[in-house]
Amino acid sequence: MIRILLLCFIPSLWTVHQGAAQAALSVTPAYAVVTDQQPYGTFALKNQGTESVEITIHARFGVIASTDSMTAVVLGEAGHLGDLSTQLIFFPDRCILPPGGEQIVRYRIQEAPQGGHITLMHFAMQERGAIVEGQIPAVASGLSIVYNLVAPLVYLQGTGVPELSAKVVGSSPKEMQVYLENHSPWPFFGGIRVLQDGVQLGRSESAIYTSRRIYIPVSTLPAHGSISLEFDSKYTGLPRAVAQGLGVPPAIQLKFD
Amino acid sequence: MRKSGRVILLMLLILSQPATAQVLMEVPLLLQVHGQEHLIRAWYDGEAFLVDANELFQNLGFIVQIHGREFKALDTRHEHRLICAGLPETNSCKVPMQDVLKRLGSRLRFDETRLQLRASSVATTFDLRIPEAQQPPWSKRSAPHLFGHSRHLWGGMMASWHIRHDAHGVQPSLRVLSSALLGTIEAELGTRSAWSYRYAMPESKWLSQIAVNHEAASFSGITLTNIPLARQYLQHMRTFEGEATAYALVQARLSGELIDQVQADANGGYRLTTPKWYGTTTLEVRTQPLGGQREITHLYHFFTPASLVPSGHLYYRVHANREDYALELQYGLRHWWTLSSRFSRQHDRTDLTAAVTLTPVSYLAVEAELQYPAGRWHAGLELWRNQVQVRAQIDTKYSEYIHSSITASGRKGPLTLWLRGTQLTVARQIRQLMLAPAIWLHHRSGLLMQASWGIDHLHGPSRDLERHQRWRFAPGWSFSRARLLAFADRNVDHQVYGIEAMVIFRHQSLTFSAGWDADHDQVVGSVNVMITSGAGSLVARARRDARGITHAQYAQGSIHFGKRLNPSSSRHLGSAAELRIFEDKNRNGIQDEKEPLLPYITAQLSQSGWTLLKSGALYAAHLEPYQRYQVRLLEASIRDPLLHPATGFEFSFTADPGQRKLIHIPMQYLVPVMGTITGLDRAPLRLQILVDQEDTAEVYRDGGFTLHLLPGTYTLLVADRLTQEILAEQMIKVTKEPHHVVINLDQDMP
Repeated sequence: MIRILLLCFIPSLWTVHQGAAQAALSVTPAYAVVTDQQPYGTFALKNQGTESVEITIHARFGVIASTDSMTAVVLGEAGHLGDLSTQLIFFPDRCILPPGGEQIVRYRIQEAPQGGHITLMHFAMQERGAIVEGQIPAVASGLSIVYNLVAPLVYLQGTGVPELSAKVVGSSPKEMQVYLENHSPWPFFGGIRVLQDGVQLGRSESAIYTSRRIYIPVSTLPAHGSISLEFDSKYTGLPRAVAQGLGVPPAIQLKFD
Repeated sequence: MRKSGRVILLMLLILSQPATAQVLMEVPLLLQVHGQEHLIRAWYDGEAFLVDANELFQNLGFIVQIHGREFKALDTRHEHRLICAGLPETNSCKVPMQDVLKRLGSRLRFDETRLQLRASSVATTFDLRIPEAQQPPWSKRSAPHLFGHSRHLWGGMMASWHIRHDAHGVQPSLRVLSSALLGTIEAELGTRSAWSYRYAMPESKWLSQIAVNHEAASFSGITLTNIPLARQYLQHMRTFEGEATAYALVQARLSGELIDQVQADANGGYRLTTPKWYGTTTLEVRTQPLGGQREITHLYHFFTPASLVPSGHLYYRVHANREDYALELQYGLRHWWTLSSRFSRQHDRTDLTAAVTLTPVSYLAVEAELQYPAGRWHAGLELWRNQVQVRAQIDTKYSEYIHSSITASGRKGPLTLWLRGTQLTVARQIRQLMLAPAIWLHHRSGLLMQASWGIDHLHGPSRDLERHQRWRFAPGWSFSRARLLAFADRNVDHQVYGIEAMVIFRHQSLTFSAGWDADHDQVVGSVNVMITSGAGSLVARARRDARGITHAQYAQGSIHFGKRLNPSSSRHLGSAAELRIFEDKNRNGIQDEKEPLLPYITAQLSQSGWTLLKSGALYAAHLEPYQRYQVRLLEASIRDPLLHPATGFEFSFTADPGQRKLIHIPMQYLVPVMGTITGLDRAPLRLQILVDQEDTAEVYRDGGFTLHLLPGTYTLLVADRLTQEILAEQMIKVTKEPHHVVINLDQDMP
């Protein structure tokens, strides 16, 4: 198992700035879920910075998952989800984007067994730099930092319902922390609602591939006793057709002390 | 004594201070900003760097001001103040680099070891100078012209038909435009019959068309010309000068598209370069003053009549037939001034015409023409602005007659005004004046009010011969698909009060009116029905007035004859294009039987749009013959990542007259070739891969490169961009499988 913990800051805009904001790459969409009905799609890359960048694209098997303390990119394993990187073809695998330049990355998924499959698309960005006479090769290739953007690409062959388990791992007056685990080959995308005595106290959206620590903002902290976690299939950017293919997991009853 | 004492005391004070001197070593600093590099002066005192703020901030796109030791850098949103180190200097200000970096934050990065400064979005100016704006969209596009004008022995035919039935009986007419015999045949059959054959060379400068025509069985002739055949083209590039506040950012936009952007100078002057097409163009100039003030927008209107020839161009048209011949010449003296002349000889009579066309101001065109020896002259004026259009003409022949006319319309808010008027003077004795102003009010709520008044006055040598007035007033409601009006109409022979209504359905429309004629004490009315289908349209009209009942019906449409018959409800006789995007399995570029169309791949067509046919092809009708159209295949619609268009994603074609132009786009599978260059003795970015000395590929920082090729044998050359030296050569054989290649610069010498 290769476990690489990276700073998992994946902002909604998917824009990464280099230290001095020379080159800025945006990847759209931030994640993609496709089904056997339409096993293809695109990512759009745009260099919003002021310097040319080299982009190298890799597909690596892995997930974004949480341990008890942090959320990170985990490579080489994805719980019950299948490895999509072996079933995927995409173009191009490298490109150079001038300032303002755009590139469409097309992908298509070949046959895959029943269930959910995942790969993490890595968009590695590096400054192109200027052509300088007399620059020695080692310096030219060494004086640059590679920035990685990670976009999960999920493929669903067939339909199924995610199986989730949950436990409360922390709370503060304004939020609850819940640790959720997925025990099925079907990822969960949607809303997680906290209810007590039929009253909704808070809701948060998340994607749970294997395990995820969720922070749910609540209007009031629930009283000690029983609470329930209910799920829905509303997830920002998720096509309705895909959401319909994934069933909504049943509610989970938890004790809140 | 007191004065000299003070001086001595001051000198003692100065001398009592320890004397220090700052030793500065001047170093050049490479500043890299968007798309350009500059060397600016900097100094190093052994501990810290100082930089010339004047040079730095100017190169970053700021406006700089130096007052003594105070330095200010301004752009449209920011104002940075810095204090210059040392004594004040003219046009120079040394500031510590740390102060600059503090001001600009992470948008500027200073690399001390490489003496490099890199900037990103420091000044708003650079935010706005987007790369897209640097390549004006109106300039000749780079898309290769892959499908030019084509010739066929038989390239299809378009026929438009019209059958009318009224009190005069049945009147059929047929117009045919065919791409045949390497040219175009156009024929008209009906009340008058004529045909012509044209051989066109749209790209040629000196002979664009040869035409042979035959009309009404009376004469036939030949015409030669070099007048451009495409109607929509650029007349010239115009330099537009204006004034704004000092250093304001000025943008030029056409149809919302940014075409030029400049910064005004210290006096507020600026120059924009904008295209001027034939027809009408509205230029929007947006001025953004410094300091975050509100943007100001001005609209400018350009009107270029077709008779205005580009500067320095000579157009001719020669026509000859059995009975007459003529030569027309047009020469563009300036882009706003064209001289033209026509020499003709008919039945032993010679006519000479001289004319001039001017656009003294951008939105006004004036034409004048003099005929000799007929003594007839004609002058016209046309004004076009966004809300106002005026057309005035005067036509006279010595003292025989003077005919003048004016048509004007203007719009302000919900009000629209029209004025139509003519005056005719015959032999200086009989004068006829017709004047018809009208006003419409059309509110967003649907409220509609139409009011018009007209006078028709005929004056003889000594008295009024005739004088008529007419008026109409109609209030009601009007929406896009329905209209209901009450009207009162007074004309020469009737006075009618009634209602009229119109309803438009998807394929049908119904208009009817009913009223009472107070002059004749009878009911009058009309009904008009139009039915449209894919094969044609049918119109039936009936009317009852004081003279009785009249009716007329007509049907019309067009048919495109190609491999299939394609009927259409419009009388369209231009040209069309059909884009067939197919999977080229055997990579021969031809659509074979088992190579299907790929209907999910979509494309953009400039100035028009595509319709998806049932066959899976894309179809565009009503194209301008000889016009060049740009096509862009939408990459995101191609589902297979390895499928690539053999034409490239962008190309252009010329629309051919009378033809449904077939454009085949072979989509081919390319094989990825991953390569690595080893044995590097220089920076990889200097290197470039040449594939069969035709295509090129970039080399990445790690010495890698990627190619996508059709199966075959290729020669790869590694070249140095700076020295143009060929460093290595390797032959590769690409099969259907992904290919890996390693080029060692030490071993693979050419």
